[in-house]
This record gives sequence, C-alpha cells and structure tokens, in this order.
Amino acid sequence: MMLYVEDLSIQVRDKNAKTDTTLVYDVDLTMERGDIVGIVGESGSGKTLTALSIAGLLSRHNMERKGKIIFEGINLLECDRRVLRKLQGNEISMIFQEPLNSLNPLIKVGKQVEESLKIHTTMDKLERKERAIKALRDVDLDNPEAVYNSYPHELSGGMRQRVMIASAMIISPKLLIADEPTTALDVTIQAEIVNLLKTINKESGTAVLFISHDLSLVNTLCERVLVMQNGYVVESGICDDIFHHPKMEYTQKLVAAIPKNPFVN
Amino acid sequence: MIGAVLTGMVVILALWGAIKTPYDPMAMDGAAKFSGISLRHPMGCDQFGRDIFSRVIVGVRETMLISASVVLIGTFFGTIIGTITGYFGGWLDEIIMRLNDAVLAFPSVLLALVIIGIFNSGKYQLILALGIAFIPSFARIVRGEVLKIRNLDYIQSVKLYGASDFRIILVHILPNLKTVLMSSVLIGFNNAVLAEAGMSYLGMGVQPPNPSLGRMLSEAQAFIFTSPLTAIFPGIIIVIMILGFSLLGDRVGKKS
Amino acid sequence: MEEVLKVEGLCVEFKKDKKPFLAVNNVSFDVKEGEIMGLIGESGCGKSTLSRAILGIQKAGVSGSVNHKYKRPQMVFQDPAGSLNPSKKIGFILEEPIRVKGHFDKEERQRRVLDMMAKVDLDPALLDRYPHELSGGQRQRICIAAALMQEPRFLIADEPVSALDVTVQSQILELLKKLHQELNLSILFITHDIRVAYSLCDRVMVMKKGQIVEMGPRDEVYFNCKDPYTKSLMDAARTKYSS
Repeated sequence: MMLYVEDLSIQVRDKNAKTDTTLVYDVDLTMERGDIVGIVGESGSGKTLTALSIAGLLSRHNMERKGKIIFEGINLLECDRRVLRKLQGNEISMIFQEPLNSLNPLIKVGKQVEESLKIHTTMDKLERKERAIKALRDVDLDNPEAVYNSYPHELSGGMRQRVMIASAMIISPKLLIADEPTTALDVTIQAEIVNLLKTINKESGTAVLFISHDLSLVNTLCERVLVMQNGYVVESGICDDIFHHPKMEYTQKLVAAIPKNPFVN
Repeated sequence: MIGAVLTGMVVILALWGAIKTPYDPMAMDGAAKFSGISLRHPMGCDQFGRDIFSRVIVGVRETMLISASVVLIGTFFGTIIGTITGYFGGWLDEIIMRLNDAVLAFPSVLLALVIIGIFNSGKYQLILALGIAFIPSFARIVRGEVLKIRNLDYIQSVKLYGASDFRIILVHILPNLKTVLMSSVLIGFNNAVLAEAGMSYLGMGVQPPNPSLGRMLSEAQAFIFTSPLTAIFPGIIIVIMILGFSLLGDRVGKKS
Repeated sequence: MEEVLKVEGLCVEFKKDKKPFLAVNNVSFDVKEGEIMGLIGESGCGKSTLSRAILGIQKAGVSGSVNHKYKRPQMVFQDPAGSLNPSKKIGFILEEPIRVKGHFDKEERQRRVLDMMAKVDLDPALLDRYPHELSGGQRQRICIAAALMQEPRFLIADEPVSALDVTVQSQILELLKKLHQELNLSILFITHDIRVAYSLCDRVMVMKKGQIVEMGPRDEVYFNCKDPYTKSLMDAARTKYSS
C-alpha cells in the first residue's frame, strides 16, 4: 500500500474563544500506486484540509491532527520535519486552484519548474534546464523553450496550470495531489487539464488524489471517490456506483443537484 | 488589552486634570524648588517650585484636547474631500488630489510652522495649523477606500434602483468607511500627540506658564542633568499615551 | 411577442496599453417578453462589460443603441458577498429599492419586504441579520429579492450561481425558474456553464472576444451549431461530463 490514512481527524484551536472545532472527522483512505481517487465535497466539507494534511502542508501550530497518515511506511503525522520535507520534494507533489498565486511573478517560469531539482538533486544547470523543458513538453505546452523563458503573467490561465503540473511532475512523484485544479479555468481548458492528468497517470504511473466540488468531473477522471460533508466521509466507493446509485441521502442530493448534461440521456 | 488599560489610565489622568488638580499647576513655591518625590509632591517640583504631578495631568488634558481636535479636523475635512474625489473622479479628482499631493509633500510640522507664522502662536492656532496639515493624509486614505467601495456590486445595485449620488455616499459608502477610519484616527491621534509635543517644545503651541507635555519637556531641558524628574514624568506619560493608542490601533486593524 | 430589450450595433471600447480595444464588438440581439435568454462565454469574452453597458453602468466608450421597453431593469451579480452592503441589515437592504423610489409609506414598504421574503422562501427572522451572518445561498436569495423589489419586468443575472456550491446552485436555479413563471419576468442570464444555461434558457447566444458568434433557440445551438468555437465549447462539455 502506498498511502494509508486511518481515522484522520483535524481540530483547529481558536485562541481567543479557547474552543476546539473539529473540521475533519475520522477519514479513512487507501491508495495504491497508479490509483486515481477523488474527494468530493462542498465548501466547508473538509476536503481541502484532508488533502493539505496528506501533503504535509498543514501548520503544526494550531491544527491538532489525530490518526495516521502512512505514506510508503512513514507516518507523516509523527515523522521528523526533515523526513517530511524530503518526501514533499521527491514523492508527493501538489497543485492548487489558482495557478497565478502558486507562481512567483518575478521569476521566470523555467526557474520555478526547476526549483525542486535544484533543492533535491545534484544536477548541473544544463541538465536541469533540459529536464525542465522536457517536463514542459510533457504537459503538452507548445514551444516549451519559449515558455521556459517567460514570466507567469505572460501565460494564459490554462498554460499556467500546465506549468504548475510540469513543476509538480518534474520529480516524478508517486503521488500528485490536485486541489480543484480546474475550477478557476474556462470549460474548454478544464477538459484539457483533466485529460492531461489522465495521461500523466497512465504514462508515469503517478497516483492522483483529485479534490473537487464537481462530482461529474470526478466521475470522468477517477476510479474511486470519497464524498465528504461537514468533515465526515459520508460515502465512498467506486465512482460509477456512487454516481449512478448513491446510497446516502447527501450523495443523492449532490447527484440530483448536478445540472443535467444536455449531451447524455 | 494592554492598549486599553494604558489608554484608560491616560484618559483618567486627563479627566482628573479637567476637574481638579492637587495644586494649582501655575502656583510657584520657592521653598519647594526642585524638590524630589515626596508624599506632598508625588512627582516632585520644577524650577519654580510648581507641582509636576499637577502640571502633568493638566498637560495631558491639554495635549489630548489639542490632539483630538486636530484629528477631528483632519478626519472631518479629509473624509469630505476623499469621498467626493473618490466617488466622482474625473478632473475634480485630478485637481484636488494634485493639490493634496503638494500639501503632503511638505512635512506636516513644517507646514504647521508656516501656518503659525501667519496666524501667530497659541493653542487655537496650533489646532488649526496641525488640523490643516493632517487633512491630506486622511483624504488620501478615504479616497482609496471609496474608490474600492464605489466599484463594488452593491453600489451598482443601488445605482440601478435610481438612488441619488448624495444618498449613495451618505447611506451606502460612509458607514463602510468606519473600520478604515477607526484605525487611521488612532494612528493619526498618535501623530497629533507627537506633533503637539514637538510644536509646544518649539514654543509654537501652548504658551507659558500654561502646561502641556511638550512645553514641560522644553522647559526641563535646561535642568535635565541636575533635576531629571522635570523631564522624566512628562516623557513617560507621552510614551504611555502613544503606546496605548498604537496597541489599540493595532487591535482595531486586526479585527477588521 | 414584443422585445423587452433591443440591442443594436453595441460596441464598448477600452484603452489597453494606449491601444483601443473593443471589449464588445458590434453586438445586436433582443430579449423577448417572458423569455430567458442565455449569454454563454468564457472569462474575458466581454459578457460582463456587455451587461454593464446595457444597464448604463458602463458609459465610457459605449456606442450603438440599447432600447429598454420598461424602466429600471435590475441586476443580480455573481458574488453575493459583494452585492450586499456589509454594514446594513437585510431588512434595510430590501427596503432600499422602494425607499429610494419614495412611493410608499413605511408600513406598506415593510409589508412588501415581508411578501418578497416569502417569494424567495426565506425566514422573515433574517431581516434583522447582517449579510455576513447569512450563508451564500441565503445571500443570493436576498440579492434576487432586492433586485425584484421595484417589480422590474426585466432582470439581468450575471453568473448568479457560479460562486455557489452545487446543491445551493440548483436551489437558486429553481427559484429563478419559479420567479420567472410567477412574475412573467424576462431574464438575460449570463453564464460560463453550458449545463446551467441548458437547464434554464429558452434561447442562447455564445460570445467570444466581444462578438456574438452564435445565437438561436437552445436546442439548435446545443445540438446543431455552425460556429467552430461553439462546437469546441460543446465538445468540451461533452468530454468533461462524459458520464
């Protein structure tokens, strides 16, 4: 098992009110290499917090986390910070909703794509550049050399998200966490990004944990899905089953709320 | 919390100063000249044998009154100017804001000195001078906020209802300036305290023998080594005042 | 059938890096009485500028003609947080449109506010709350209610459900449908979501780079479009939601 999450709970402590609020309750999740799993939920469901804690990005200060997150045999909740940092650089990558905020506006895109190679490998400049350009080509960017030398604001939203995927994939991680990666993009671009994630998963065997509020989108991409509501996983299983035969009331509501697709009977 | 306590202390002192002082702050007592801390004179006496404690609390009162008036003038006119220029924009905005920039380009104390040079020195002249010097910074802050609010959807909605510009400004924009005004008033108050102390120190504000914190510091300068008490207490009070308001301002800023 | 809105040769010109740039380029269309007209376009295509020009909020650089049959069309905006005055209670916000008009006394105004709360299925207790105390869905209901207070016959809704969760989204769409029928309201519905437009609109038009590239009855545009850009939009929707 590559990733094994058991009874993950996340509490946040409000210093002023001196109260604890639990935002995520007892989440269980397992992923093998090459899996694509979705987490679906509305705002406030705890899906992003779950993803962030798997990526090891939640601040340890005011977030109390219980349970286990075991990635390749290492419990991320208890391991040393250095071990965590190494995992983050080599094995786990994450992309976010708004690619413009995830890129430094003052640094050329290519340098940012190379960043993790610089930190975690001993490659020299030329090698790194070669790898970065290859990574940009792998995410289907035309003319990767030009993209390498441009600044984030010179690219379109879709291109920026491809750049983010390239920089996440350059270390060939075992797990890619994608938090609403298409929400800020136009429909035509969304479809392309989803297809790109599919291809990446198939070709490199990277497992994808896909977070979204859009059940139908998750259904086109993922094999399995967790449906979250108010911090709880209310239903989980094979995507098609849940999409077509939801058991829990909330999931039924969620499925019913999806606007009817004019192109499917 | 600490900010509120410190500010509370200063305000109580000022109120005390407004009602009654242990001694007449102007009464001289040759025998008590430079006397140290004692039960009769908790902060000692100055070079004329005047009770420093009495002078400090009256000074706090004066300083607070002056600073509050200055901030009031600055906020009032700054808000009017900032709201009108920010809301209507166009050439009016250009002209007024360039004038504003010109005024802002002078250090406010220098500007106040010029105004006092024209109107003579004195408490009310000082209030007027500092007040005018404070207007541009408030105008700028308010204008920025109004520019932001004016493009919000709810203002567009109200425009579609057919509300007049006057109503939009008065009912829909002004109340939303509250938070940004609150924190800039507190910061402005601090600057006013410092400016008042500075001006009085230069002899441009409160005239002797009336006490103000800046005035007292200026008079104490000559005796600072022989009799440091005359400088220490007014100084400490200024520090407490400013610290208190800064902390309060921080809190207001964080809340919004 | 008559038009509540007739737009002819509308252009909106902006200056971008000192070069003139047509955000809306020669747009002509109409909205018929009692109809929901959809305007579909991706971000930056000029659809919001178009709506602002129609309502007269955008004045600079506008040319062409816009004719409204009725006075005072109203608008519902995308972000329900930004379209409510944060320092006013809901009751005040709902009363404002008729207070501004000045036709009714206080009692009548309050009666109308209560009526409207019932129409948008909200608890009258909310009238005493501030906008930030409401959920996103409740806020959007309030925005719709406020827009309807002056009893407009024509409403422009600019992405009214894009900022909402799916379950809330469907409720708001249902509400719009209901109000449309009850009040015989004509709506120009602006969205980037192809499925949402399908569920609501009678006719749709597709906008790209300031121009209308396709316009017609809904099914005609969805299943029988001629324009290549419209085709690519529909294909994207088809693959994205393939199941």
